[in-house]
Amino acid sequence: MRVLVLALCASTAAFAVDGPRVSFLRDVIPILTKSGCAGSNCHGSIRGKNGFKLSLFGYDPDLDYVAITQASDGRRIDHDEPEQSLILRKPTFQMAHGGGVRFKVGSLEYAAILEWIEDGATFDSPNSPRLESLRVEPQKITLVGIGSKAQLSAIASYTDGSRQDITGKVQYNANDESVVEVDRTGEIKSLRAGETAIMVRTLGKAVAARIEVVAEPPMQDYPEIPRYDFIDEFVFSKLRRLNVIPSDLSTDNEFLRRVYLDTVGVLPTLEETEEFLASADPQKRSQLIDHLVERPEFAELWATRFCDLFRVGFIDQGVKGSRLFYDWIREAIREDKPYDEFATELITATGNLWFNPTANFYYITENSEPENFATNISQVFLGIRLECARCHDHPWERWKQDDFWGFAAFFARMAEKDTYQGDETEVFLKDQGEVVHPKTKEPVKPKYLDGPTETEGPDEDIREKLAAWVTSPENPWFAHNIVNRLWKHYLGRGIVEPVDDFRITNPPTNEVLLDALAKDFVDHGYSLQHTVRLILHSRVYQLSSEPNGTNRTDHLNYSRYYVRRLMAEQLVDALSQVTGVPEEYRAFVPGTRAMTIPAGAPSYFLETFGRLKDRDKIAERASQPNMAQTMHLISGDTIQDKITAEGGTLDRWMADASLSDAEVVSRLFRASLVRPPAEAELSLALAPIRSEGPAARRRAFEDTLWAILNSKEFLFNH
Amino acid sequence: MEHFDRRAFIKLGSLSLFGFMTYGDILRLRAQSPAKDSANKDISIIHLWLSGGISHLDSFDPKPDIDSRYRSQFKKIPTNVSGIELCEHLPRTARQADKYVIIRSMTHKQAAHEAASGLVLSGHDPLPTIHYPAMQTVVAKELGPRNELPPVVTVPAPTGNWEKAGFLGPRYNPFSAGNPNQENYQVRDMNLPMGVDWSRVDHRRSLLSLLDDKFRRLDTTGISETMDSYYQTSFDLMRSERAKKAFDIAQEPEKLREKYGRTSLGQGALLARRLVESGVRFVTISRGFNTWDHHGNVFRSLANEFLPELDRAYATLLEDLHQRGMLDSTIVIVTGEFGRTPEINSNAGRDHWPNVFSLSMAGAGITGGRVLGASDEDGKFVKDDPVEVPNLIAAIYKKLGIDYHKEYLSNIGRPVKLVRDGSTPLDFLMV
Repeated sequence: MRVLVLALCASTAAFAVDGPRVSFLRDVIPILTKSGCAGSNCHGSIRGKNGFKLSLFGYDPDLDYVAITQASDGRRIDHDEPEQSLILRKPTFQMAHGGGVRFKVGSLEYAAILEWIEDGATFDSPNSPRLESLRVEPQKITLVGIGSKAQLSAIASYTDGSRQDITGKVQYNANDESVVEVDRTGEIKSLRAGETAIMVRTLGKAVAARIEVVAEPPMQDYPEIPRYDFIDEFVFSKLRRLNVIPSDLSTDNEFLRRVYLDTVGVLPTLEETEEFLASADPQKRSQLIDHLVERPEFAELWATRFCDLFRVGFIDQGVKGSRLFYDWIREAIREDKPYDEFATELITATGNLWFNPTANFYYITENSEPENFATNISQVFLGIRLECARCHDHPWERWKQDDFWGFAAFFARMAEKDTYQGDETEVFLKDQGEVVHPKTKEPVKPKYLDGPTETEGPDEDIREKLAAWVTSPENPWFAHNIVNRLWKHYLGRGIVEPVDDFRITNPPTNEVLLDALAKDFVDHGYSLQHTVRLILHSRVYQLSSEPNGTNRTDHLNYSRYYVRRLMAEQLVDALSQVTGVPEEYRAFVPGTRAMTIPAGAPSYFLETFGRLKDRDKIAERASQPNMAQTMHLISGDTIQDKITAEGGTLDRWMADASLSDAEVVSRLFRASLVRPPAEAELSLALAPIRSEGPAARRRAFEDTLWAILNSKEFLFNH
Repeated sequence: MEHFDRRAFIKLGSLSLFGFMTYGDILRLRAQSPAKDSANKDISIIHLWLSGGISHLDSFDPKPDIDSRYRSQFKKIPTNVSGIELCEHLPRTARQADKYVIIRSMTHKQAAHEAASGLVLSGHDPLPTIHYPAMQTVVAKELGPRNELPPVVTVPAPTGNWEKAGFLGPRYNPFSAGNPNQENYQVRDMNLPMGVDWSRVDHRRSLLSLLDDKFRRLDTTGISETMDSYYQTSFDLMRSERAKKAFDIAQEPEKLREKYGRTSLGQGALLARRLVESGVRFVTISRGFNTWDHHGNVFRSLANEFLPELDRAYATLLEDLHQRGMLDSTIVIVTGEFGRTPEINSNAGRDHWPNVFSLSMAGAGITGGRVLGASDEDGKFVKDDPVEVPNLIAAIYKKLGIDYHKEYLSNIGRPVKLVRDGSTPLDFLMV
């Protein structure tokens, strides 16, 4: 505590140079915020603390003024004996205070608040300028070397046009505190090579400065890396700056397994593998990519992904509605329906869930209300999480509670009703409807995010205007968000991560790349297939997953292919494919692949391996392993039934007299891992046969298959 | 002594009328029993989770004389503690009243199952942005496993995400034991498949380890090690004689199994006792999601099925734990997420009612035979001593020796205390 206070005194004269009078808006609230009083775990929490409630991080100073000077009979301010004011005695711990010491008697903070009370504890006049925007300088810093320092400054612009340096009055937080540390004065110091953003906050406004830390000066002997397209250009330029050398190009075996699983969700067959490996055509990777994107499984994979995103399969939608919606999405992907049209059809959807596929888009929660649709559409199509702003201004972003309710007002007329004797559900527009702001209790006008208000004309569906705004080339989020989602699927991490959390304080790791991808996407008619091809053709996608000495700790800049676990559907389909023993799903014909089944058919395997079940929230799948998965892989019936089944692939190969035992093992490896076994692997696999003779064949092959199917090399894409 | 509250004194004092136990006896017991100093004791928890919400007026808070719009069809019966009465369909539980407390003044504001379950199991009012970890998963994180058995088990399986670890991460999720009331019950995937013995498993594992060698270089995130540790834990569990025995409910005498009741709660409670004996820290037992949600025919369902099931399970569990000397180190909790409306609806059911409801709890040094709080005349609201869930959960954490002030960083970077800010352990449960 002492250190903090000293640091503050040493470096911030800001409180003192404000002029003779201490301002409530410019001084008192920033002091309380910076001292942590208005944090979410203290008086800024939704209930306040011990009867004293401030707005979260000071976003509502008018309310705070009442809380400090009037609430609880004004006992927090003592005009006769200002030093006796609770607002001073509590944070200095002259009285018991759950929050401990926030600042000391005699500190600058103390002096400022004392002076403000002595002057009458007034609110700045109602017309006095308010903070309009906040800027941090510089917005981007590259620090070379560990322990090097730089200084941030914060500039406030007020509603009267004036500006002020408020460097000492804002709060600083590093998103990743292991990369840099930042003190109360805005001085940063590098701790390790890496990247992060520093959030700068005051009075409910937040901005961020991006910090890169490079451990060493530029490498002299940095190798020349071939660049295929603009993706490589932007990724490799940044890696160059960071002294990180990308991994080598993947081998054909590596690439083949990877691109099949990522693009069509299945493994290459033995024949496909042989053909690809044998080809000497220098264009063979490109040709394969183009071919895969055309395959029907490409659309199935993306239909499954979008079903996750749209929460298909919830409650009464049932199998029928889910199936219908899945088919509609798959068809749209297959024909490469421009994504702006795709989104427009969904945003403007109405109708019976069982006849109009897109109506299911609006059937997501049990109590469909305008606020749910606002959250849903902003998160799904724009990658913006408005949810916080439902109850209070967003603490880390510009979104105000008014923004949230203004956006919700676009859906004021939306409703659902039971039709056909109550068996079916229809999404429709009521003749009238309004959304009421929870605080003002007034009806709210529809308002675009960061944009003007809108009115609905007679015989109009205002959602059409909303769709036009969402999908407009000028919309700063729509194209960015979808290309970022595509990127994440293929490269394992979003350029903005989480993919649905775009905000100033969560900047992209490679902004030029994201901008270029988004622009290219719009320029190519919002074609999903175009961007997928572009990504797959890049060298970045085709890098090996094997780390080198410089990129082992990189998890942000795509210097190698990041390994990741297969999706539940990919995994179970691959198990069926390798063993030649299909799964069965209720109400689907035998042999149906999991990737073609929208949420609905019960499956222990799919649910255990991460298929989404809870549809209350928009969620990404959990990628973390768990015990139930491991136990199921070890002794569960999915693998056991498949490796012991009669009539499966193993049976056929064992019965084929032309195949040696070594060839059977080799085929098991090639079919599942797309590589032949190493000598040690082959030898260990055949050991039981060597020692016990042909009677041990079946057992030896089953055990080999079990080990392959339990191996990380199989469970992961890499 | 000074913590002993007045209400408890009255209840306990009256015991002596029956010569059952004097106030002096209680004090002597307290002085002798190390369980009173419970923070130092290695405590386990068994939660009979009545998902859907049990009607307080038809169970632990009987008021048979109230207006007919609210009145239960059930009579009230005395218990082995003078002055405490229960509904007539809990006769066995009534004979164990000296072992547990009843809190008749539980209250919160969440009237939907999901939100209320979230609150009751985590100590936090739910938020759309934060998925709070359930109490048992906090136990898993803070205290860890005692041996090769998982620290936290749910029977048969979690009723929803509110029983899971939320932002703590899935590794703290409870282990699903399945339904021990099924014929030939066994835990899913815990036994080796037919025809596979441990020598084959050893061969499989050496092949697997050879295969995984190369992959370890590729993974720089640590997920490989996590998976390896799950394989190790799984094999340890599958190989463990202790685990095999713990889950083998068939080893229990037929008579005792009948006494617990051949029901989900009954066999679940019996399995829970076996698991706790073998080292599991926290067992949650339910009949499945929302099963107690009696919007219709509440009296018929309760009288014919639900209350007898609960009665056998709870009473037998208490008796069994007591006889085995385990009650001092085991907390038993009986509650749903809320109570049910005093007003009987047109379907002869009762609807959701969080304004006041009842909870019963025993063990770990909690002096039984007491009632805390009261609902008002019609059982609509709290009359005396309202109890908020977070204070109850803080008390449980305190008994377990977990610092309930502790703060975690949630998924959205917002710091979150183990229980809602400003909560304090409920004094009533500390004696």
